[in-house]
Amino acid sequence: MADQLEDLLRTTLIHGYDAGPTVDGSELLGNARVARRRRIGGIAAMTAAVVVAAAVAVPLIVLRAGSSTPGTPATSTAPSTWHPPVPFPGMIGSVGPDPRALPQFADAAQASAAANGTYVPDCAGHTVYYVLNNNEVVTLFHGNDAAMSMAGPHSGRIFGPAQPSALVEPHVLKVHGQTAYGYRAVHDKPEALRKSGRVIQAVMYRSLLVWKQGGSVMTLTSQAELALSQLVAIANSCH
Amino acid sequence: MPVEPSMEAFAAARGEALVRFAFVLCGDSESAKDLAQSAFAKVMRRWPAIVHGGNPEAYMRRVIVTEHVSSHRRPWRRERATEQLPESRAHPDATGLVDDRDAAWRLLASLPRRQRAVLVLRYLEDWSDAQIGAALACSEVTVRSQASRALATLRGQLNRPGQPWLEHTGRAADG
Repeated sequence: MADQLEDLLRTTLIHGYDAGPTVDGSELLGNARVARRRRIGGIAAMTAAVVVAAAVAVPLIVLRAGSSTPGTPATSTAPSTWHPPVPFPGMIGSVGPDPRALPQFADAAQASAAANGTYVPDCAGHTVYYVLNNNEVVTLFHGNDAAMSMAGPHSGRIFGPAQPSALVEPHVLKVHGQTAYGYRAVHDKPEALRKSGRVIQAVMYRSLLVWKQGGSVMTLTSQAELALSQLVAIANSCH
Repeated sequence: MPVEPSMEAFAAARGEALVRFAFVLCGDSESAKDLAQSAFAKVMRRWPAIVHGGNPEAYMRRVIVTEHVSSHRRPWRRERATEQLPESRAHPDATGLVDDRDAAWRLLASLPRRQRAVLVLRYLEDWSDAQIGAALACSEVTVRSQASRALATLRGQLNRPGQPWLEHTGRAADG
């Protein structure tokens, strides 16, 4: 009996081990770094949030340090509602500087020149262009909460698919006839919270679209107002 | 910066194995990732010394065990009862082995976490009682006692009428 029980235990544990979760080691380590920083208060000192686009799981999430309170969805296009562009899957980045303190340009060509040649489309609806220190360009759109960022070919911004998660649905789409990746908050509802151990994740955007254009990686987001299909329409209208 | 790449390489190569080990310990995917993540966070600063120690994986497993056993003191990390198994049985098999494993897995989940940890380390990792005692900060006698209690509990539960393990093997009569 004892031997049978021990054999059963061994097979059960081995089978449980084999059936265990699959994870990406780099993601695990990245999360560990974040957890450690949280533990020592490094992230807690950050003002709002750390934007995370996890390589495997969740491209639209915000890690909120020390708080389980979701952020407030944007309701206008004022710069105060601006969020930093989401570093694409695999990146863990910190909140960018307030764009109001950065150089602003009224037209795409000037912004592109100031951003060391980063491709910036010129289409209807843009507000001013903000040129970030890393030569990325960000602009908002009149009339809704859409924000677009453009990262040049040397920005390190990753362009690629991600996996679905409890918070987002990935979509493979076309923009200007080329492959684009879209992410939609599940049920089109941003700000959903999910607690995983000590990490609290929240969807920051209702929808997010990433595509390549003119050598830049383009990211278009809507915090609460626009569906993914509407982002695709905006993207296709930008040349 | 040789330290960071080596830890990254280790995480890439063995991260999943550590999560699976944590999964067997705690029985829950999310908690398993959390345990492994916590272990990495804990050893990050001491990584060079741990690598220098010669067996970083064994060290990490000990950290995971310690984290798991001590995490019951953190109320937000207490295990929650669940009906879900790590896998669903697609179809019954002829030998009833899957039924056995399902039953054993459920019963393992019901054990106190120190007892479960002892069984995992003994039967999955093949650690000696001395090694288990060192990891759990207790004596070998305590390890044997915990194992004995855990096995008695499992035996008692598996001997109950209606358990599939007994139904298809007739082992109830064996005692």
